[in-house]
Amino acid sequence: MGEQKDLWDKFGVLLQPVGGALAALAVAVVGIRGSQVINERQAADTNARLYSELMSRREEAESSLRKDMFVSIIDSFLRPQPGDLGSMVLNLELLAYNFHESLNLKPLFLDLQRRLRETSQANREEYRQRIDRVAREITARQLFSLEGHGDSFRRSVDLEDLERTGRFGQELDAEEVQVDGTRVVVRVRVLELDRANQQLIIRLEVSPAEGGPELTESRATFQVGFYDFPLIDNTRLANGMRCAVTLSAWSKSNADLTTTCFPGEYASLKDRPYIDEVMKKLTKQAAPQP
Amino acid sequence: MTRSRTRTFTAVGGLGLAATLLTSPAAAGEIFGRVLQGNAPAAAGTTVAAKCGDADYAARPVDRSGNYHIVAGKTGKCTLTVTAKGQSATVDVVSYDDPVEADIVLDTKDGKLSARRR
Repeated sequence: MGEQKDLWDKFGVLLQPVGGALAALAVAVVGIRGSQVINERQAADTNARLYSELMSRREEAESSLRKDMFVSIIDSFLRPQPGDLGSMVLNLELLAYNFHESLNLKPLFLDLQRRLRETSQANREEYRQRIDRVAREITARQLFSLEGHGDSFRRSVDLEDLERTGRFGQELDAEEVQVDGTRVVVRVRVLELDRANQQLIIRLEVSPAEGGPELTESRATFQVGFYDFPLIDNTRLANGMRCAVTLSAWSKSNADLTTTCFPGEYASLKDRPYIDEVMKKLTKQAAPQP
Repeated sequence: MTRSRTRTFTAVGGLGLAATLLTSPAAAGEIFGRVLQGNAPAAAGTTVAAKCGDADYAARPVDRSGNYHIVAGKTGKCTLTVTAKGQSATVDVVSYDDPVEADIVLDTKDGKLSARRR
């Protein structure tokens, strides 16, 4: 005698093959989707590898070109032809426009300035104007890029007043700047004036702002002229921040200084960060955000 | 007839060119920058006027981003007068042969407007 089958048994008989089919379908879907994901990931990896290969090859080609260019230009400065100031000016322009982010060109600018002062060539004024124009253009370019990542302020110096005050110098109004969320007070004191070379000797003092984080005070005394470029010639502060003072304008009676503070990672290529600063930054980035 | 007309045109053209060169704004004495109220651009209607030596330069409104631009055409010490919401404050700036940037920060303390260079 057959056992009476209830409704659930009937459902069971019907659903058993359907369940099998569904399981097979699920395996097929997972398999197809899985292989699709793997394919997409592989394609993305291949693209990324290809892109980085292309970039590194381009980098290599550019580095080799820049190296050749640099060697031939620097050679002309180390073995100058007497009286060939035109070529020197052109070479300095090439160097400045192509290597201003990685080299301190101030010695070359000053050397050429001295040569131009000593020469009696008719076009020496034109040459002087050319090197000055390059220097100002590069300073402006570097300032423009640094101001986008940091903070800056400008002050005028009364040169006649400075000559009267003598070695006490002239204190310019302090300014609070904020870089990467850190607030500091920057003070600039102009100590000496060199009219012949259009240079100022200044003292830069950076101290923590009121209510800001505790920071070590930094103080530095240095020369500032038109051939000091902010990306290259800057002062490293205790917290990895950099501050640069640049000469932005000069007249018989006044000079304008621009002070820019920016994160250390935007300093020039020749500037290597301290290992502890890198570690601190990495630890800060890895720490979970509150 | 044609030759004399050509000469007249040349003379007039030359005079015009000379007048343009003499009156066109030169880079000397150019002062520009932003007027800020705290960290934000100054309110609409804020104006900046300049006085360089004995020459006055009329007040001009700042744009939406707070930018102003004055061609003083003269080098030396200048006083910029910023007027906002009926009050005025001054800032000293030096103009040079090259253009000079001077950002101005406005502050109101005890209802009185003050301005300083940034």
